[in-house]
Amino acid sequence: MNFVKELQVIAKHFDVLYVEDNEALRTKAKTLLEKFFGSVATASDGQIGLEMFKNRHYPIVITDIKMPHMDGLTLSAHIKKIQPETKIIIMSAFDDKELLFKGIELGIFRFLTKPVNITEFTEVLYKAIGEIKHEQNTKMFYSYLKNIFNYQSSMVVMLHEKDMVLANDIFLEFFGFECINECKKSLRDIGEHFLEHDGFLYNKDIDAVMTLISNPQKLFHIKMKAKDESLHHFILKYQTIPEKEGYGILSFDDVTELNLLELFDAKQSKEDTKATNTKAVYNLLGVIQRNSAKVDIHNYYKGLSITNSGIITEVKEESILLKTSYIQLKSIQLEEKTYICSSALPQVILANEVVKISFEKQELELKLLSFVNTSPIDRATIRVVPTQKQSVSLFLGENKFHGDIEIEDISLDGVRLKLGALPAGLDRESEIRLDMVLELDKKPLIINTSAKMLRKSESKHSFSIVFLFEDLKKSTLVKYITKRQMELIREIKGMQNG
Amino acid sequence: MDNKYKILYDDGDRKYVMFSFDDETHEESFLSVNQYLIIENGEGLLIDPGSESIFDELYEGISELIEVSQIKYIFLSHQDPDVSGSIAQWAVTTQAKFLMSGLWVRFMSHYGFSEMSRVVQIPDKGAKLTLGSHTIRFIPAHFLHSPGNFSLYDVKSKILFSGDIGAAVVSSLGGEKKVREFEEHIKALEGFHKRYMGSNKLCRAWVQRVEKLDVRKIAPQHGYVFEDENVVKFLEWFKELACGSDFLEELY
Repeated sequence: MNFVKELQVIAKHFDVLYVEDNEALRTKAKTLLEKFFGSVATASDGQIGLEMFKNRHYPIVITDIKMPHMDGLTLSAHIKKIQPETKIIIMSAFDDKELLFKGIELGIFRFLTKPVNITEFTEVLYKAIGEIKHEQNTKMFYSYLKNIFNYQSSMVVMLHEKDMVLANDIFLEFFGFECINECKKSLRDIGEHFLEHDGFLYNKDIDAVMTLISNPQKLFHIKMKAKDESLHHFILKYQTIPEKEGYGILSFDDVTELNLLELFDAKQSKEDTKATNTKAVYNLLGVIQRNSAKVDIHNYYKGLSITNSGIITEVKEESILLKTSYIQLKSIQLEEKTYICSSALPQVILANEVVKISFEKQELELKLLSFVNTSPIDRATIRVVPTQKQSVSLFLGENKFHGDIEIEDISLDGVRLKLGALPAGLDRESEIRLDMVLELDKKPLIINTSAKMLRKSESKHSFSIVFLFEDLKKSTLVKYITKRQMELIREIKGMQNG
Repeated sequence: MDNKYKILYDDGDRKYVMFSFDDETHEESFLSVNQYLIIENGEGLLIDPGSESIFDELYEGISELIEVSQIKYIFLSHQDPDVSGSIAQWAVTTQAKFLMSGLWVRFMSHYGFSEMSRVVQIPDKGAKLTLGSHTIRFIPAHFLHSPGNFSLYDVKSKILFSGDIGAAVVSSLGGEKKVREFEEHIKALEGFHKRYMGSNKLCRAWVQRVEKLDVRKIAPQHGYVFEDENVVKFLEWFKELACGSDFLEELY
């Protein structure tokens, strides 16, 4: 690379101070430097050089070491104190290690040994200016950024990997910090300040900041304590900065006034207030839609959990439109309802009516939306619907039940039976014996166990009763349930393939 | 198998157990498979539980130590059947959360698993997890050999559960399952690592991360456990290993 030409282009707008006691050298160097720099000032010793620097902060200072009144290293130490960014280039006839170490300590930009080779000299100057420009750009970038940050009406923080780089004044004010450095020192892991709350993001399974970084654009709820000890509820989003790898912006939307905190924590709020909260449902779904955040849509196909993400395309007065995968649409069509989950929602939303489904557009419209306290998503055990090749006999004490009976679903812990009538005398204390025959690998699978009734419900023409197994050897049933799951996966995937 | 398990570490509060149930039927190329369990206060974290065919044995083995329902987390280092093949069985028998790379979540339905809401996806760059009173770190091990792959480091016991890294083709029968002479053991390591691992660059990146940790034992998913000076020897060996794409011309 020809640094002479390059230097002529970039050094024009820079000034330089040259300190040298040897007059002949000084004059020669001045002539050379003037070919590149906007202006060149010279001084004949360190003392004079320092006075000149005090009057004008030159971005580049070139100095000799041994000089009368003040040597080059002392001069450098003073300059670094006044203006640490100054690029100091030392030229010395001595190849002294001790001087070199001192220079490194002071943050000297480069050492050059006299007599200086022009190519090397121009290269060092070129690099010094390059670095100054880079520092100026960074400074400018941060000052612009700070302006943009402070223009925001909500709290904004810039992260590099997991570390805080910048925070706006509102953020600093929230925690009561004077400046960003104080904030950085105290808030090493910002995730530690996200307080525990049901359904909120905090350092739980995986550290919160890592979760944020791995889920850009996703909305999270967090709770933080302000300097006045008041609790605030925020909706938090992490956005990556294009072309700035590892950098991202956290934006905090303070939604404390919506009074949703109670709603999130099931223990603190009552069932009825939630039920009437349909307005909140639509408002929140609106927030999700505006942020183009994804939701999880959940259904069961014969007990098999089917979950896919979906995007809300429109929130109407009493219904919503959303797009999701073919398999999900198919399961919604079969189940005639669906559950919507998102970390931005305090609870799961049940959509109890499907208005229309378009497989072509992969879109559907749902209505009768409400928050639900218990949803099948929280199911502790996996339940599957067995094939039609099943039979079951129920004995209440010595008496066999003779009415219509079939297995609705079965898990490792129990079974739900559909009965045409209620066996006389059946209650929670009754000694029940169940003889079931299922099919596993085309062979009959016989399950005999005693059981206790857990709960019963009644519909128009039948009863649905859940029995818990008492003395069942589980290993065969594990095989049955896992095989059945596999069959069901094939079944539902088969629907997709036509 | 006489000894169903071997205790790797036990300080009274926590116990680290190694199981070695094999599912290989090819007598000539035995690849012993290890499964690991961390127990604290009766709760467990199960590491690479293996294929469907060893599920019953492992279930029984674990039952002797803790209630299987008390397994809170199941970590799957990657997607292979000898690691994750029994995910559906574990999903049915426990309420555990499954920790794995996001790359493989959708693939799990091929093993009959569909409980996506029980999966915690580990970000590419790793993460930490608190189990009871101790911390566990997930260390990226991508392309060594799986593209979405993690090692698990336990801060308390200083054991690095390394998945397929350090795996050796050795007989599964008997023995104490500990590397005796590293130089001798290289024979069992070499073939597998040269072909299965992505490239030397990746080996180096992993070793660089691991060297920052205080590792006393390396417990791979196949073969024997490395202890003390063999840990250092293995890391040195792995750092210099030419493998995978380093032999591009032999492969294409």
